[in-house]
Amino acid sequence: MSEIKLNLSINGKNIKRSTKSHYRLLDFLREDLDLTGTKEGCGAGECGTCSVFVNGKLIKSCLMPVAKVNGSKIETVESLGTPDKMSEVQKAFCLTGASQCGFCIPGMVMAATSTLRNNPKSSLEEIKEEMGGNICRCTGYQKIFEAVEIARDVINKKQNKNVFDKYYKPENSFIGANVKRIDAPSKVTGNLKYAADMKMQNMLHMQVLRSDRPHAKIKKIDLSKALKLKGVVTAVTSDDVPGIDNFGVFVEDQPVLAKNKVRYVGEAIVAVAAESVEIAKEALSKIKIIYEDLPCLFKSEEALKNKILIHEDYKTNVVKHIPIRKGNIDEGFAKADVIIEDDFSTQPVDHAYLEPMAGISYVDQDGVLTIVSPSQNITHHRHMMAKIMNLPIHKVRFIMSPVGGGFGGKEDMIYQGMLALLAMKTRLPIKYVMSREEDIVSTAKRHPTKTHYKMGLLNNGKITAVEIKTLSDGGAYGCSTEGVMRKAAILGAGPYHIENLKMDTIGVYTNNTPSGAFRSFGALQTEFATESMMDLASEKLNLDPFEIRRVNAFKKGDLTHTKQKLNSASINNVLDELEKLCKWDKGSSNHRGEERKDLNSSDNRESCTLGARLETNRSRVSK
Amino acid sequence: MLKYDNYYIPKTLKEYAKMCNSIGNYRIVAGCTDTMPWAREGRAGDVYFKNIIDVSKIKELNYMKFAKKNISLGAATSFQDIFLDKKIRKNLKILPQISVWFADDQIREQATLGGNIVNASPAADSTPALLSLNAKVIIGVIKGDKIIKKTLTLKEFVRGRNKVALGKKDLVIGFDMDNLNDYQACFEKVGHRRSLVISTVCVACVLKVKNNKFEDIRISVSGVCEIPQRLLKVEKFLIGKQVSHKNIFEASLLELNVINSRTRKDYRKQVLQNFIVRSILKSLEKNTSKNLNLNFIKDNLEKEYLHVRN
Ligand code: FES
Ligand code: FES
Repeated sequence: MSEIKLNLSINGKNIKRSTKSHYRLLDFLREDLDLTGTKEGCGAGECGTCSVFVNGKLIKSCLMPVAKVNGSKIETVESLGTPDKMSEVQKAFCLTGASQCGFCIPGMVMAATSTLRNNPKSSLEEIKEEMGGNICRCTGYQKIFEAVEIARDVINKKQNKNVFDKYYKPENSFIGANVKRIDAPSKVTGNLKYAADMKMQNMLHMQVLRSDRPHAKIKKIDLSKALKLKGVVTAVTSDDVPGIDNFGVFVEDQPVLAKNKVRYVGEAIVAVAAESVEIAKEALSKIKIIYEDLPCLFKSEEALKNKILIHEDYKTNVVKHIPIRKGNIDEGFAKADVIIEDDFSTQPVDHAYLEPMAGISYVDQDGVLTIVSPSQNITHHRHMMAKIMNLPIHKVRFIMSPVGGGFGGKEDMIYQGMLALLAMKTRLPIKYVMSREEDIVSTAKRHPTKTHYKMGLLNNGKITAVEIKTLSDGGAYGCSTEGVMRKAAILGAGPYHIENLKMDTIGVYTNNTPSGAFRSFGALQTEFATESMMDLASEKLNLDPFEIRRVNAFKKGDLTHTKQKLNSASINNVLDELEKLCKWDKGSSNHRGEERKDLNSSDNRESCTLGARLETNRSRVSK
Repeated sequence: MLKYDNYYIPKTLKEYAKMCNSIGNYRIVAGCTDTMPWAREGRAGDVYFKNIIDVSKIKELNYMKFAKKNISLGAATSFQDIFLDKKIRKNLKILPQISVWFADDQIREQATLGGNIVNASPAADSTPALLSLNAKVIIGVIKGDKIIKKTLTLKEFVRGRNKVALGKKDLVIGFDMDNLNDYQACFEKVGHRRSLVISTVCVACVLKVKNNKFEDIRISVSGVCEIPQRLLKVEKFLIGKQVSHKNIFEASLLELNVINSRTRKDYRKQVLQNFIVRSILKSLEKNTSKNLNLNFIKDNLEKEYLHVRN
């Protein structure tokens, strides 16, 4: 591998050394200098987790070949402050709680610093504009903007700097009070180590060959050429699994690496361990797989026919069917003054946590297989891993690294098994970091659904009967489908007292990307249909949307959809409060005339705009 | 992943010419903001070049010259310089307007005007703006050790989707364009996200009004057609005519057939028409002449034709 000699200044220090010629500035900072406060969220210039200063200008280091900045002056987040000596911007981020998972935060702090350096008096609009290259998946931007405004005011002496003391001395109460976020300093300074930031001695790098077929038999895997490559240590396939090769959050139906056949595009087939990521990647290109394509199943309705089976052992494509029956819907519909019927569909969604999947595995001095990863479910993973690796449970250990955003996406054990196999086989530490693209292709998504909905109501808005059938595309493996179907069934009809209910949620296998856990766990898709129906009904019956909900809302003593008696119910209090706060413009939604009157009132946030602006207080005189 | 063994950064055109004559298998880059994301899974995948030649630091590509009638910008001028430079802001109002829509502040520091034009993406933002500025492309043609300068109009230069009139070793050195300090300008764009958007429709308009008549107007579009282009019929129709709601509306209908996108044709037509009208109105807003009653024009457009206020 060819090298390049560098001579540059990093955080005030002159650095002279050689590195791989094709490295990006981001790689050089992270791999060679261990300056891991600069993160890689996308590698494609989209997220801003990699922002650094080059000669005073903020740029995205994932788009910058290191050779291009030879001789330049680089500043990374590490130069701004340390947990015991933070900059104003960093202190302000701690104060407002502008860090959740924290993965985007070093980049955000850099962008905020750049904004205030360019114009210490930046207005809120300028702050928003200039930080537009950085995205956050969890904190939301409100707290971040608040923090930058506080920092700006302190810098300009418009606000006393003892405002920051509030972070150290939070209110002397717990209920309704701000609680100190103790991990904030480690996040705003880039000190916190996520899995991809860790290194171990003699560590090898794993890369994964993934299927480009949605459904195919694996006839042959030829590793010979790949294994001959200099720097490749070994490779594993499903044949290397010593124990029971199945895992899953509910149904254990997923092999660590594709066994005999592949079921979706992106499924792992071979995992290679090599001395560098580059070599491991090259090895992948030398692996030959011979497939025999099978007929594919992409539509959930088709899956119900069971003509093509995704998992032959199960004789059916239905992963889970949850039926709920309450009262008698025929009688309910007979009583109704109006019946409305409609269909709703939702699409798959990626969690888009800013930290791509990553992990390190090793066998420790006592022979304990150890996996470090941002797993959201380490106890369950540990038990599954013991079975897969045929190890007693005390020989398996999971360490949860800081999770750079999960939202349910990090519940499945989809790569830890491969890490374990390679660590056991080589007895060396193994590291794996997914690229953003690989993460999107291979990990579970929010279930796409199709819902048929029928609702009967009296003229006063009272629901007499509801019939819901939701078909969810679970994709190639079970993952969390079973639980998602339960939650969808239990909550889907909404917080309404419905005497006659027939609800069916069905999750099926297809050859699509697996669906799994995702915030709200299935309730979102069905409740989206329910709330849409409530709005349609309010239009049809000429009732106010709040009113129709109030008429039906659960009250104390009501039976839930699963016939649990409620000892209390607060939905009406919530509705009352909400109506008051948003200064609701009363009336049914289609009788409101051209413009609603409750937009942009004092307590409401402004409607979204694209907000491009040309007017800037900055200007430059170019050479 | 983009892999290469050598990354060359020539400092002069001469050095560049020597370099590309002596080394084989190279790729030319400038800002790298298109090349790096291109060499990733789902697009080009892992790509290897033996050599990369980075032209962004070549002295002859880094210049700005302001004359009374003409302005010249080097190909390596960054979009952030275009956005912030005092003289550009004053004399070429349309350019800062495209820059504010171009990716984000950080990418703009790296991305170059030349790179954007050379990629010849149907969605490139700067091409329509340069078309409206009657820009000419200065090319350096490498013949042995010699560099011969050649000037092409932008229309001659951009040949099609990702196709430009540039030999393998040739280089765009810079652009000559009209100094339009007495014009008003407006750029309208719709894409999928505020930062990093790839435009689906964009319109660049520059105009000059005298005695309530269009003395000159130049409108260019991109995103909706293979090659960004001027709406010459619209321009011809308006030049010399009264600034009125009727004339503006009639003009906006004249060339909607430029759209040859495969998808969402009706949507794009609607957007294009709105953009033409809006870019004219917004340019007019910046006109300080008192006898122009813009509100009257807007009211009438609203009443009779379309929604123009946002
Ligand atoms: S912008 Fe560089 S990693 Fe996302
Ligand atoms: S805190 Fe911003 S992505 Fe998690």
